[in-house]
Amino acid sequence: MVSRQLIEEILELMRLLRRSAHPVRRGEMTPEQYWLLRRLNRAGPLSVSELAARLGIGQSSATSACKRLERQGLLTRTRQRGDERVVLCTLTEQGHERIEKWSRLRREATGRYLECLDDAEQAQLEELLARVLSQAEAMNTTPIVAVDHLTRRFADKAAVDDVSFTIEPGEVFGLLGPNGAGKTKTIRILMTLIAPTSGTIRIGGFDVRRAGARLRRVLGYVPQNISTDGTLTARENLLIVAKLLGLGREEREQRIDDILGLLNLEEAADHLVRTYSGGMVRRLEVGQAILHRPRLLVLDEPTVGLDPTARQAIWHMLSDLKEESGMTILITTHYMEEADSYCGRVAVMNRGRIARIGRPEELKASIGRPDATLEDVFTAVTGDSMESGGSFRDLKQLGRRQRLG
Amino acid sequence: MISNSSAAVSDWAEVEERQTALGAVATYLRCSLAVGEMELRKLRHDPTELLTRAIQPVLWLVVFGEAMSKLHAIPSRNVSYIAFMTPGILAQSLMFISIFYGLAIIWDRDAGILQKFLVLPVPRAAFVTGRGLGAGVRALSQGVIVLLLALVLGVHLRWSVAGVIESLLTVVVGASIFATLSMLIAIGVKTRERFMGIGQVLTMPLFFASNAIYPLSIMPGWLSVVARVNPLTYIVDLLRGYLVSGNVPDPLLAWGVLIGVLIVLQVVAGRTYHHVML
Repeated sequence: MVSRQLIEEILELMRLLRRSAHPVRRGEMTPEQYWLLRRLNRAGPLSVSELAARLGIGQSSATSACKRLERQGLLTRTRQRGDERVVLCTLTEQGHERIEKWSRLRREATGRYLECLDDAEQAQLEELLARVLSQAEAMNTTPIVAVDHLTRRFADKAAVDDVSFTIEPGEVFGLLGPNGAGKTKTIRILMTLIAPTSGTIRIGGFDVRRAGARLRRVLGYVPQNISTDGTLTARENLLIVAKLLGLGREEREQRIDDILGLLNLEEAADHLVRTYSGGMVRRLEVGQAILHRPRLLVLDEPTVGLDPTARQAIWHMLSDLKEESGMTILITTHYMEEADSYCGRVAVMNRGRIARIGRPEELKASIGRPDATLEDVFTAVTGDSMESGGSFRDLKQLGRRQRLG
Repeated sequence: MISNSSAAVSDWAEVEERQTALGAVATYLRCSLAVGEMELRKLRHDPTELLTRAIQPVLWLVVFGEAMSKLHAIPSRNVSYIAFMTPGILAQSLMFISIFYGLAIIWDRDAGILQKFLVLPVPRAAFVTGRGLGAGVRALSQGVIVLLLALVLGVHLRWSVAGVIESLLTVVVGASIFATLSMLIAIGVKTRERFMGIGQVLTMPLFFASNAIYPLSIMPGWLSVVARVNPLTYIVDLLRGYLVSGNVPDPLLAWGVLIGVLIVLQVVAGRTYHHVML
């Protein structure tokens, strides 16, 4: 734990530095002029328009800042040979000296302060800075999933039509939409099960098409249909997956016991899965998918056909998992209130396209009624396509699922 | 701002890591064994199928075999006809059960089991090999049943430990061949209905265009040519050699054909396995 006192001291140091050595604070120049000089000192001669672009200021304010600095003798402006319209700015000797002087002052002030610290305080400071760095890194990550203009055609019909979205690490992302909207197809492409017709998918920065087989080491997948073997026990189902993953005997047994505990399936562990309730089967499926501790867990309709209690149990388990492991979760669901309460962001798909994407609150606000629910967003997006969606196959599968549940 | 934006990616070491060729082979073998084990565990929980499978060979041996023996219609050299046909019936029954084995992968696909396995970091060929292995071991029960039956019926086989072991080995390889062929068909046709149709169409020609219940010598020329490219013929040759006559005419050729066919089927099925996904 870093003491409050140390943080206050650092803040004080920063204030001191600004007062003592900062030309802007001391009223010597405007911020534009100051940054302009620093740029030139680091990068060498630049044209006015380049400077304006790099500092993110307008052309005219850059020009006037340069003129002022020229009057003070800190830089010179010359027209570029061959192109009279381009004005090149170069620091003068005096300009360089001024910048160096400011830097020296800042370094000295910092040095004086650091010398005052004893070893323990210096260690504390280091630790603090390391934390700041890691937080900054966490805020500056690449998305764990980046889907870019993804399309998948079957015959002449685009099941997934120009879909783009990103998922941030640690996020619970919901993919919503009616049957036949393309959710499952999108997920299957993500999971390296089918190839896209066009577009790219990156997971953790790796192209799924190129690194597919290696990427599977970090993917956990719970398919829409029952993926446990009813003719084996829960322990055997887990055991086979663990053996396929190449876990050693001791680690295997440890993890299987841990997971059975987490799933609350210890008592039924040695019964055939065929005798399980729908909720138990679903929990076991999640267990199989997390045996190798994936970074991205993808669940396709994990709560469909379950009673409300079982649905809640699944969601609580997923929340715990996310808390403990920092796993990123991508989930599809039909239940809007579930998406609303558990997903950080959702995308609503319809006819192969993403119709809306954002945080549930944002999407609800977009409806324009104060009491709008995610259900309203869904209806607004899908309109009449609910009727035409779905297929014989969907119904058949739902039937099978519910018989089991 | 941290400028190095690839920092978040480069720590995905488990994805970066590439396997050596040797490591890949080890993984493939390990995973094949795990899949095979799964198949056998399923069987252990529900062994009734082993008993129901015994019915067909019993009918062939007891009804067909006894009747044909009385007729002396088929030349069986210097052994009784029933002894001649026993290896043939063993080969036929392992073929009949293995040829429908591929249905399991369509079934697994229709449930989500196949999808689950395909997303695991496991070489996909291992599923084909493991299942082939599982089918082979399952068919062992068929071997045991037919041999016991022969013992009960008093069929004059040339009983020897080596002969029995060699013939059981033949059974494992033979069943793996037809199970792999069956998986290849499943990968191609993708639906249960079409698969059952093709399975039915295949079994009888494979059976009759072989030397299972009559020697090649009495076949019309064209049929014996077909029989010569039928793997079932080589399985029967081996079994008959190990169990009845005591010597296989050309063991190197027979084993060469069987192993060769198995490898080709395995490679093709392993490479196309994921196409069973719709």
